[in-house]
Amino acid sequence: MEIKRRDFLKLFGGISGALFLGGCGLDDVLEIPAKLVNKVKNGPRIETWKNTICSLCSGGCGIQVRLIDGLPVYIKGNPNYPVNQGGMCPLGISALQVLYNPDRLKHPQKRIGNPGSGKWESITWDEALKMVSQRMIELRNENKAHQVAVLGSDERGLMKEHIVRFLSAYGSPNYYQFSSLQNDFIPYQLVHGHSQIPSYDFLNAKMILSFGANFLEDGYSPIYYTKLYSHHRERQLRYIQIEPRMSLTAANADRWIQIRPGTYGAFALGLAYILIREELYDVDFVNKYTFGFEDWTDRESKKHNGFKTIVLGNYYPEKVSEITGAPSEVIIELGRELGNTPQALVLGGRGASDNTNGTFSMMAIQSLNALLGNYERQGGIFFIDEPPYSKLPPIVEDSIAKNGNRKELIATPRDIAFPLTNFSIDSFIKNILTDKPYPVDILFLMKGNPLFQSLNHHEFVKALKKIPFIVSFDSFINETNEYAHLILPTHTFLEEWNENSNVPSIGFSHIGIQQPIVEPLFDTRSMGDIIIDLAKKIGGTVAKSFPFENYKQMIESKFEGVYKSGQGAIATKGVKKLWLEYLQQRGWQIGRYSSFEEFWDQLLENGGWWNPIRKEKKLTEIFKTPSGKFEFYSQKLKSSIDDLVKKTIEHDSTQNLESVLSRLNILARGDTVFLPHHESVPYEGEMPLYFTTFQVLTNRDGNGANLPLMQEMFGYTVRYYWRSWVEINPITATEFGIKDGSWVWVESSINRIKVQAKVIPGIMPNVIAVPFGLGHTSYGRYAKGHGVNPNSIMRNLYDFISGKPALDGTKVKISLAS
Amino acid sequence: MPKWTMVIDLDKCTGCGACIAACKIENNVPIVDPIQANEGRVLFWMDMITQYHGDYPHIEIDRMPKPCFHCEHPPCTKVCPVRATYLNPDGLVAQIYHRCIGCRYCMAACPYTSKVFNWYEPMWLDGNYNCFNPDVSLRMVGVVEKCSFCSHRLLKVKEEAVLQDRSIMDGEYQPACAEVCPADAITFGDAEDKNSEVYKLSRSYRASRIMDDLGVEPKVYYLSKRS
Ligand code: SF4
Ligand code: SF4
Ligand code: SF4
Repeated sequence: MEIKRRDFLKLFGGISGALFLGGCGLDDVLEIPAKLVNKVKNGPRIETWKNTICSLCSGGCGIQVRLIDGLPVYIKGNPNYPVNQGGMCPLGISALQVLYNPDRLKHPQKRIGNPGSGKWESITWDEALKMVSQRMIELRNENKAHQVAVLGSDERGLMKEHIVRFLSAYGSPNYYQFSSLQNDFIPYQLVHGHSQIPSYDFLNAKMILSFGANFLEDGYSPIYYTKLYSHHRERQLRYIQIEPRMSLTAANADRWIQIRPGTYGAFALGLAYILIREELYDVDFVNKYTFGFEDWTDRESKKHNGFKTIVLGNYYPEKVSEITGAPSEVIIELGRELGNTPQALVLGGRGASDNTNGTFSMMAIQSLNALLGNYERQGGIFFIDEPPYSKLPPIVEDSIAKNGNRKELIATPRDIAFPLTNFSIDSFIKNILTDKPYPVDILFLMKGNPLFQSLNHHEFVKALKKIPFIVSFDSFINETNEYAHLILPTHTFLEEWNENSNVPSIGFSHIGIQQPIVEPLFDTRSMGDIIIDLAKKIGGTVAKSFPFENYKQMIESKFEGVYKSGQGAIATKGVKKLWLEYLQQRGWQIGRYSSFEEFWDQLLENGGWWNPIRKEKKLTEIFKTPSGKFEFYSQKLKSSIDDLVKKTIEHDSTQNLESVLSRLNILARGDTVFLPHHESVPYEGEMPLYFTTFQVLTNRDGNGANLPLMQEMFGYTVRYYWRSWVEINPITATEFGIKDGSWVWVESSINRIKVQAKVIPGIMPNVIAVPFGLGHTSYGRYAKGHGVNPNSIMRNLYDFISGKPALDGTKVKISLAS
Repeated sequence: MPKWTMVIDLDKCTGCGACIAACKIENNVPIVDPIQANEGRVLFWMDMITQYHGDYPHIEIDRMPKPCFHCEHPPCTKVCPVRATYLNPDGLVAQIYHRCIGCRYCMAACPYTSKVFNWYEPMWLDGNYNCFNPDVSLRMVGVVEKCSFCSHRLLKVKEEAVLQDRSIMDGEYQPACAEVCPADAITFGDAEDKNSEVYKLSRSYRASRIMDDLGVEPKVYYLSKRS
């Protein structure tokens, strides 16, 4: 890692004017393409800038890369791109450390040693793709196409469509994503009837009440929200943040209210109690557009309790205070403030959703928005339109594909669990281990690092070891793909084509165009292209489904629809929303391009397209539930649980609703089950402290850990560099005899980790927090061996309904490590 | 002569750290060995100060990004025995690295602890595969460095203005931190220019300077409703 003094002087001598790549003996580092070295030594030093999209998190920020003689040297935000408007986060700024990372894979790798042994052999692309395609052809011939599964990560938009297309043409229904957004949509689906993540009109809201949504730090697009936040500061809006730990968002809020982990739903219903009790809710909206508020009678004349009855009977301030730990005065006062503020928005996020009761909590939080009548109004909640993309040509399926696609999904829970999802990583692992409903022959890993992020490391490893052939698409070796048999090295996002459209929760439809800003440095390929190549090699109808030369062509063909629609505009300077509206009202169109080519060139030059103008929607159009309304009482949840009951009756006539609910670990009974309610988390009584984790902007879901600058900045707020820490309130610290800086053991019933204590008042007493992202055992020289992975001490628990990992479901004890 | 001034709006700053990262990359600031970094030898030209106020549960937090203040009467330059740090003609406090003998007097003299010292051989990405910013020289072990207000950017802007026979426009010269800040919390410009943003902001009722009574006349203002 060091540059020796002698080399340094050599290099320092050569500094005048020329850009240089490090110092010592450039020429003996064979990996550096010679053409590059030459450019750097002898180039004329011409500066250019190119626009693209950052893809280091789901945020989709537009970026501008500074190139000297065609080589990237700096990244800044694209001021005209509407998502981030020139802003960036520390991780995105460090993206060149991804590009130039010494641990990048330079050729296809075939594993020759045991998993984790680090023994790999470089092979050629021809060999690698042949290995994969041959196996895939064999499986197809044996009518086992469905035994191929894909475990993706954060793909959205076209890339997701592309993978699904490949699998469907091939004949497997098994595409799953283990991502931070995993199953996020389920609570929304229950109350809204469709899975689109809502957008929030932050711009016009007067108050924002966030339940554990750390939107400035780990939301869908932190920089988009930071821009809005700063705009709000000029207009003195009120931000209130509810969570046990003072996150970056709480630190910037006007008020931080502490509640215990796992009690968000109760707190939301406590506020609902005040709104209903004091008639501060939107009576008109609730009467016309919601279902299940008042008591009701169904078609079979059975009486049902409504939301109102349940809330008024169970969530009075004293009781909510007992559950949540927040004083009842705070609940009453906040409920009144919420009811009396016109245009108060309510948001739920990771803190609320990542627990065993997450779905119910998120439903409770969303029902506050319904009580306030926040849908489709100024300062409220709305749903944006899909971009006007062209459709891809239809997928061609032969009989093998048709047959395979009809097969049962491999990741669907076998036993009574997770009624609303066909994917939970837990059931995926269990089913692989038991070969049910059938074995997995080939597993594709699409980037991501699920093993590092998972809660059941041991079983996951067993499952990975069991699969005969694992192929990973990645730029780096990490914990998960150490178990792969073959790694196909992908370009970094700075070297490849992609599109990045409609980041969830952003308030306008938009598409960012990700284009290569530099020639690939190594023998890597783009994920989209590899898939097309594989399809061609498999041949037949699979190949026919991909009438494209490469992935870029697919993107272009999608964009033709955008060009033809004449909607929206390319994101250039000065094209602001008001201006677009003005033109639209007068029947004008911003984008008058003489040809698609011109449109495309403009797009590449500017980095993206957006359309801030939304089709007006009626309130009756936005809810797709069985009742066509916002459902307090979720009929979807009712019918899925009924289905489970039916399924079990077939096997065993003694099964009934009661036993299904108890196997789902749901404590509520009667109508309450299908209404927003508080389910207590099955914490272990003997452990004294709640354990929670958080993501930081410099690392996000663990993927920033191989960048030295991000490791150094990991704890810049607490002055811990390259290392983990545990945040403890001074009251708790005194109780356990811990001082700031002491090394402590944090121990759960599963495992223990050793970390340094940070005693700060920004966390509730009896709750401790460890940042997620460090503790890698792989993932390159900068990641490996620094800090601890808090997930390794968590119990293997999931949201009972959605199957999302319950990251706040563990309690721990703490002791001084001597 | 322009008076290059920075105004940091603490009511807007979220403490995201983008300014710190942008500064490190723009100025080729080395990474520090993990152990040494935790011993306090980490090199941040732009640093972040965190302070808690109040008693639980009414906690408030102050986060303050802190560059060099480019004092008008810098105490750091006066103590340097070899004139390695000086007030340059643009009014910026500069470092001449190869003159620095590493005595660290200036570090001791700076009331704002803005300077950092290269205790070790500088470290960047392995594999000799860094693309440095060609506009900023690298530093060797044993010298002091600090925020330069990205003065290399000023050189370029000045050149351009001279070529086009005009004066520098407001907002044309931006250091990396101000350019990247997603909260638009950092404003930079000439406080002598009555039409500039910083002129207005530095006269706001929210504006104050840190340890103003020292008389060093720092050129960084902080805006905050809570003072
Ligand atoms: S938030 Fe940061 S990492 Fe995410 S897209 Fe934006 S710049 Fe990239
Ligand atoms: S970049 Fe801006 S918001 Fe982020 S820490 Fe720096 S000054 Fe604050
Ligand atoms: S802040 Fe410190 S280093 Fe900067 S000019 Fe003032 S005294 Fe010198």
